[in-house]
Parts: sequence; structure tokens; C-alpha cells
Amino acid sequence: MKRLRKVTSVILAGLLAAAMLTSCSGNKTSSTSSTSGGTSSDSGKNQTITFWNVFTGSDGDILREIVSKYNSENKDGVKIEMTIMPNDQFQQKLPAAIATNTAPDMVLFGVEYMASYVKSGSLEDISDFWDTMGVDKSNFYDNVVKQCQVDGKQYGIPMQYNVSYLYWNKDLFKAAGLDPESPPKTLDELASYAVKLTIPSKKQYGLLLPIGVTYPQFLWANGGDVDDPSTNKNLLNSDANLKTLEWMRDLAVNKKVTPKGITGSEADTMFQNGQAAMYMSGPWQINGLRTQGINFGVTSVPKGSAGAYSPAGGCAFEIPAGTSAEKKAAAYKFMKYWLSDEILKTWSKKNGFPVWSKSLEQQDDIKNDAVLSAITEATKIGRSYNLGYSLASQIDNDAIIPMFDSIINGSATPQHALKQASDKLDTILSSAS
Amino acid sequence: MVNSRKITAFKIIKVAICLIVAVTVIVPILWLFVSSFKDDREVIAYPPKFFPINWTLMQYQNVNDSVPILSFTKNSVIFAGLVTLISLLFDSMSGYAFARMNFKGKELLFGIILVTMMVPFQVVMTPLYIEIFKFKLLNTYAGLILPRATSAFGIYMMRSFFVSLPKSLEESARIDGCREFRIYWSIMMPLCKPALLTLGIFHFMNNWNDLLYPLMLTSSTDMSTLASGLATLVGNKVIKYGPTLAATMISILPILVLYIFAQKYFTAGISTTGEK
Amino acid sequence: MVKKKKANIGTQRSAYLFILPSAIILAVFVFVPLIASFIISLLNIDVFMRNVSFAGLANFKKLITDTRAFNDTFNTIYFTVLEVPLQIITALIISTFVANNTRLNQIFRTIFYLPFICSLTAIGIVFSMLLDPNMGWLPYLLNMVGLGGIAFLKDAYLAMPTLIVISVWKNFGYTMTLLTAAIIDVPGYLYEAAEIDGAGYWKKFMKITVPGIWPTICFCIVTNIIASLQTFDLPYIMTKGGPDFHTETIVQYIYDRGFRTAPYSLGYASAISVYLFLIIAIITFIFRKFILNRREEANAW
Repeated sequence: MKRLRKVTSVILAGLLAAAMLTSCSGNKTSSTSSTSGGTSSDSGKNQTITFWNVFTGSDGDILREIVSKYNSENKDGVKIEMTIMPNDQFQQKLPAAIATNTAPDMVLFGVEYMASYVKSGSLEDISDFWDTMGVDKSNFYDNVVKQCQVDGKQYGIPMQYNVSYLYWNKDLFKAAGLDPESPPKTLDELASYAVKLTIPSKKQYGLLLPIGVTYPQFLWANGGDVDDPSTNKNLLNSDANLKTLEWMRDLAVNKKVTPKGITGSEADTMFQNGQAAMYMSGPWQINGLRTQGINFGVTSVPKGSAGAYSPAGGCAFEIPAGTSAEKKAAAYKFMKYWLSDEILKTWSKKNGFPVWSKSLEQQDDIKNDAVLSAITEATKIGRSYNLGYSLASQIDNDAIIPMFDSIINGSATPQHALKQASDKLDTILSSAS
Repeated sequence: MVNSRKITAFKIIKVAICLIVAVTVIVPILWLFVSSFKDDREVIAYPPKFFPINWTLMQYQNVNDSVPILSFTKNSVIFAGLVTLISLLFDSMSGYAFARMNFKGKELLFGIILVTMMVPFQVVMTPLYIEIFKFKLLNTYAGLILPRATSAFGIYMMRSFFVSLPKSLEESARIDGCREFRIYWSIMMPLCKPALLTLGIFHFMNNWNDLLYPLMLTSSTDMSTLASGLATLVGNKVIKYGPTLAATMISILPILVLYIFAQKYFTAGISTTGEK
Repeated sequence: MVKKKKANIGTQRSAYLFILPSAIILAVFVFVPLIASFIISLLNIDVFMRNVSFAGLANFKKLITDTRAFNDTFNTIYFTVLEVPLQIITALIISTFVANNTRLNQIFRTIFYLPFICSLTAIGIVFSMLLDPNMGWLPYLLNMVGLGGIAFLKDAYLAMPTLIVISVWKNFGYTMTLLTAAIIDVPGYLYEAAEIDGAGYWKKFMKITVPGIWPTICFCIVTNIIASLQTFDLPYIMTKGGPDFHTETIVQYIYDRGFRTAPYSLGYASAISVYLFLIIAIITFIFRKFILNRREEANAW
């Protein structure tokens, strides 16, 4: 009897596996949420669309406000049901949901994840958004619109945009005899300021360099690069990069301008409670710094011999494959709402994220907002680091992040770290289809 | 164990060691507790202070305002509670059978059950998701509870416990022609109260705190459990420590209360010498 | 005699009925996904499950030369080999201390159980903040008494031991509860008889307590080994496998390959989990058969 049961289980499992693999296509079944029967198919009258995103924390609070305001006030007949979850779980759940046609009608996540979804055909091509909704594409910064495209097709509508910025603590500058209104403009200045601002006895650090992240801005400033996505070429093993890594190691290991092995969130905390003088991060620091009462300034990342560049990122609205045409039309309406000056202004003002709408940029209260205009200015040096490249996460997780980690930790020499990363990169690039 | 009234040096050492361990246990948890009453600045202040200077309820307020705590708690109670109750029943039945009954294939079946403990959840999660989808049980209480209605760990534990009971207990009842279920229900179950309680709390706690499993299998906010609801407070790029600490305290409280009540039953004398 | 035989057959049938509910649920909801994941290891498939093809043993061939998998295997076994004995012995000793049903012991037991009921996320945040060498309260204290500079979770060689201690801290309360319940069940008269014979504390412990609760001890050892070899949450939350992969465990690697890093190969991740499964199964089998199975009559595990 048990043997029969065992055999049955194995057969069942085999059938299930086979069924899984062949069922991942076709129209979406109506197994989405069931609250207020969003099944009406008469041209967009009271559509309810489900919307998943990763905006946990205080950003999520602001997003919630905007969405509920939209729900109660909009004349489009659209109602949004939003679910927020942490990014890890989101990236685990969404692919499986899309594969089983139980995905939400609209999603919002970081543009760095888009490439994989597009490659597997999991997102709808929404290039027709601009014309269908009558939104002027040219009103928005070109690079912002482009970074939501893959292979020239629009798969995401930009929701927010940012690069990495240099924050500095004006009070600590003053205490060290530096002009609090003059942040370092070149890499050399950055290094010398960092050393001056590192006071071990006070547990004060000059420049926080967390592990677990990449520093393309430093590589680019000296004329180096990681790879060329369009040709799958490995550009890592260069003299310029070696120089950069040696410079970083000197700062981290010899001059000890950063505490050892800190994570991004620990660095956030240290900067927010005044234990560090300089830190490179995104706009999300601003609210925390204001709460903590830090007298801070924000500017673009310093330039090297080849110029100043900062890795660009952002979030975009996407439509999972299989969403019905009606839901898609409803989602478009919300996206158009988001791109309005009013909403973009709310988002930027409340979060400190830069403005990328030309019409909004002209408004006086944007121009007069010191932090916003500094950030917006500093965003102009944005450069794509492997955005839209499906190998991006593998390159970072397997080669580049370990490389920078070992430099900052001092656990490998720059030559060794660079060579190892480059070899790894070769393996990854050669497996590219 | 023998209850000696003498205060020996050994007894003092025992208490001293227990005290030291108790301190290492309490200090971090106490830190968690008091820090949940600190405002955002104090939570991450340097130099670090243990106790807050200004006690504040703002973190709890924040949590309450951000997420529908009551709805989440209700879902968690239903999920964890039902899983625990059903699981206790099924686990103990199976554990009893494996421990006290003889049947063909016993060793093999038990081996297979053990095997199911040896694969991490991350791996079976996606196939399970698809399976629940095919049963049309996604986003339902049934879909959440059924897969957890029994657990290999629970069966193993109950079996272990039953094995340690004296052998003769049910033989006489069997010879008298008692039906197995009656033996199980009237004789065995009352004896394993502490085991049931321990396992019950284990199941309840695991499912109460579980984040990934309910998150995978539910998609609408009205089905969200406390753990997933509270996870949204943590923050994507910047971690908000204050609300996270408060949320943790809120999450721990029910289990703590449960455990303190259960203590009474633990210690109400679990001797098996009664049957003899 | 005939009555006994009848009872036996009835017992057999009842036995199957008793395990039926669990068997069905386990078969459908646990066993099937498990087999599915084993099948997936033979496929080229990613989380999007669109372009699926048969890979045969290709994933396993790749695993054989995967140095990171070896590193993680070492870490995982390192963790298990230290954590399990430390936890069990600590719990065993403490449970003998608090086994008596005195008021004081009850309070101790409640306290010791506390870490177990806290969620791992909470523990992760608490200890990250307490142990942080730059901002944490403990290093701050240690610094004041001259023991500064201990990097705990940031130090390549201290990180894993720190995680082990935190894991023991969190789990010993549960093991202790099980062992205490078992100790209470050991008949009191055995101790009285031993004392009359002049047996000391150690003799009583080794000759009465330990054999008396042996099934429970075995249970704790086996389940802890199985769980420790699958450690994920603790290192993932506290160190993300760092510094420099010194605390990365096999399950973290599985998770990373399947869900964090392109090409999100579920096939490869499943292959690693088959490999892990074999490790767990072999170690468990060895323990059961040769190390723990000292007493047949106790049906010991």
C-alpha cells in the first residue's frame, strides 16, 4: 500500500513538473484579488487594478498617500489596490506569479531588474504609452526615459530617477578647518579631505566606503570601465582601474578613512548620527539627515582625470505579461497621473529625489529649493552602469562586488583582486547567449 | 529528581551559572524593549545609551498608523492558530502510530518523513507555489494552512516522546480489546501534555514569525499576516530602526503571553508513574 | 493467544489510519514539491520558467568545479560541528540545573525560553546593533575596559564563531525545554536508590539521567544537525555571507543562484540543494546507525 502511494507520488510529481513547464503561457485567468469585482470589461468604467511594489519604509508611506488620493479623486474610473513587500520577497514572488498568470496588473521596481524580465518575455512592451495617453516624451530627460528601455523598446515608464551623490557634514568640515561650503571637487581633494577629517580618537571617519556595493564612479573618473554591454566586452583589466583600486585601498586600509566592513545601512546610520564627514549615497539619505538635524550639503561626486560620472538608477512602472488590455489601459491612466507636474513635485519635495521633468524644473519653488536644485544639478552626470544588461546582477554579485570588498577590507592586493574579478568576468561574459 | 533541602556549594554554583545565563539572555531582549521607546535620533545615537533619555510612544504610533495591525494580527492568529491545532492532532496521531504500533513499512515510511526535513524551503517554494495555484488555493486560508497541517518535525518529536513512555501502558488495554483510537485519546494524550504544549508553541511561533511562506502564497493585503505586514516597515534603501523595533515588540507580545500561561501546564507535574 | 493476534491485525489497520492524514498532506504538499525540485535540477530553467530544456547532469557537472560551493560546504559544516554540540551540551547542563519544579526554576525556564520566541529578523537587528564595532553598545563597553577592537561580525575569523554563539543563544531555550520535560519524567525512585548506594552527582547524571532521556537527546541532536546544515536566516540577515564569503552557507548560495543573481537558474539552485540533501541524509544516516543507536530496546534515534 505504501509502495503504491510512493509510486503515485512520484508520478504525480512528474506530471506536475511537466504541467508546470508547459503551462506558462496563455491568457491570464481571473484569479486575481476579489474585493470589488474588477471584472467589468466595458471600456474602462471602474477598473480595479492590482499593483505591487517594493516601497517599504517611509517612501512607501508617501506612495500610499498619493495612491489613496488618486483612488478617491480620480475621474478615470480607476481604483488601485496596492501591495507593498520587501524587495527580496518581491523578486522571488513576481517571476513565479507571472509564470502562473497570477501576477498583478501593474508593478513598480528598480530599473536594474528590468533586463531579466524583458529577456524572458515577462513584461509587456509599453512603447505605445506616450502616443496613446498624449504624454510628451520629450518633456522628460532623455537618459531617464532611455534607461527604462531595453533594445530600444519602452518596457517601463519612469517613476523616479537618481544617481549617487556626495554628502558632506558641514559642521565636521568646519571643525577640521575646512570651508563648510566647499566640498571636494576632484578625487585628489576627496582623498586629502578624507584624511584630514578622520579622527580615530573621536571615532570620526572621513569618507565612508561600505562593502557590498560597487564604485563605478571611481573607475569612470579615471577613465576605466567594467564592461561594454553592447559588445559583451571585458574592460576591467586596465591600468586605469588598477590605479583606482590602489587609490581606494590606500584610503581604506592605510589611511583608515572608513570603518572596516560596514554595510550600506550601517554607513547610513553612522553618517546620520554625525560619526562621518563624507558619504556617497542616493537621495534617500535626505529625510533621515533632516530628522537627525545634521547640517549637511549634497553635491555631485568628484571628478577624476576623465571627468565626473555617477551611476544612474531609478524605478519604473511596468506591466507584467498577460495583463488584459482593459487593465493595461487603466494602468496607463495612473502612470499619466504620476507623470504630471503636481505628483512629480510632491514626490521630489517629500523625498529629495531629483526632478527630471523639464516643465517641472522651470517652476519657481523647485528652483528655490536649495537641496532639490543641488541634487538635480548633481544628477546631470548620470551614466548607465550595466542598466538593461541581463548579466548585470551576475557581474556585480560574482565579480565586481567581491572585488571592491576585498580592496576595502584589505584582504587582497589590487593586482590580485583585479585579475580575479576580470577572470570571473570573462567566464560570465562567455556564457552570454 | 530528588528535591534536597540542603544548600550545598553545588547548589550555589548552579544558581550562579543560571543567573549569568539569564543575564546574557535578558540584556539583548531588554535592549530591544527599551529601544522601542526611543525616538529616531536616540535609537542610533553615538555614544550608545542603553536606556532612552526621552521615553516615547512614537514608534508604536508610527506602526499603528502605517499598517492595519488588527487585521494582520487576526490573520496571523487564524493561520498560526489553526496550523498549530490541526498539526498537533495529526502529528501526535502519526507519532503515536510510529512509536507504539507495529506495521509493515514502518521504518521506511518514517525514513521518508525524515527526508522531507532535509530540503530547504527556498528550493521547494516555487514548485509549491505552482501546486497551490493549480489547486486554486492561492490567497486562501486553506492554501496557507493545508501544507503546514502536519510536519515531519512534529511527527518525529511526538514519536520520540511516545517512545519514552513505559511500554506496558497500552498492552493491557489492547488485550482487553480497547480500540486503538480510544487508547490514543484517553490514555496517551493526557500523558503527553508537556510534549503537546512544547510542540504547540513551537508550531505557533514558527508560523507566527514566518515571513516568506505566507508572503508567497497570499497576494492581497487583507490576507497578509503580521510578519509580512511588519516587514514593510523596515525600509528598502534606508532601514528604519525605530518602527522595526516597535513592530518586533508587538509581534513578540502574544507569544510571550501564550508561553507564560503555558508554563503552568508545563510544571503541573508530568509524571507517568500514574499508570503503574 | 488468539486475542493477541486479532489485536495485532487490528493494530496494523489502525496504524495506517492513524498516519493517513499526515501521510496525505506530506505526500501532496511536501513530497511532491520536493520531487519536483529534484526534477528541476535536471533542467535548464530559470525563475521565469519560460525557456525550459533538459540539461541532464550538466548542473551537477558545473557544481563539481564550483569553488564557492566548496567554500560554503566548509562553512556550513564548520557551523554545524560547533553549533550542535555547544547547544546541546549547554541545554543539557542548564536543564539539569532547572529540572526541579521550584519557583525559581520556573522563572529561569521562562527567561531561557525568551530568545527562542523572538523572530530572527528581530534578533538580527538587535545583535547587529549591539555588536557593531563602531556604534554598538557592547564594543563601546569593551572599549572602556580596554578590550576594544574586537570586530565580531566584521572580522573574517570571528564572524562565524559569533554567529554560532548567537545561534546557541537563540535556540538553547527550546532544547532545554524538551530536555527538562524529559528529565522530569525520569522516575524519582531511581535517584533515591542510587543515592542510597552512595552515587555522586556525576554518576547519577551519567547512569540515570542521560540513559533515561536518551531518546530525547537523540531527537535533539538529529533535528539540530538537520537544521544547522540548512542555516540561512541568521547569516543572511546578519552578515549576508560576509566578510568575503566567510559566513556564506550552502542554502545562502542556493538562494543567491536562484533568486538574487542572474540568470536566476532554478535548475542550478536545485542541483545544489540535491547535493545538500545528500550531505544531510548521509550525515543523519551515519549518526542514526552508528553513533546514536546504542540501545535497541529504547528504539533510540
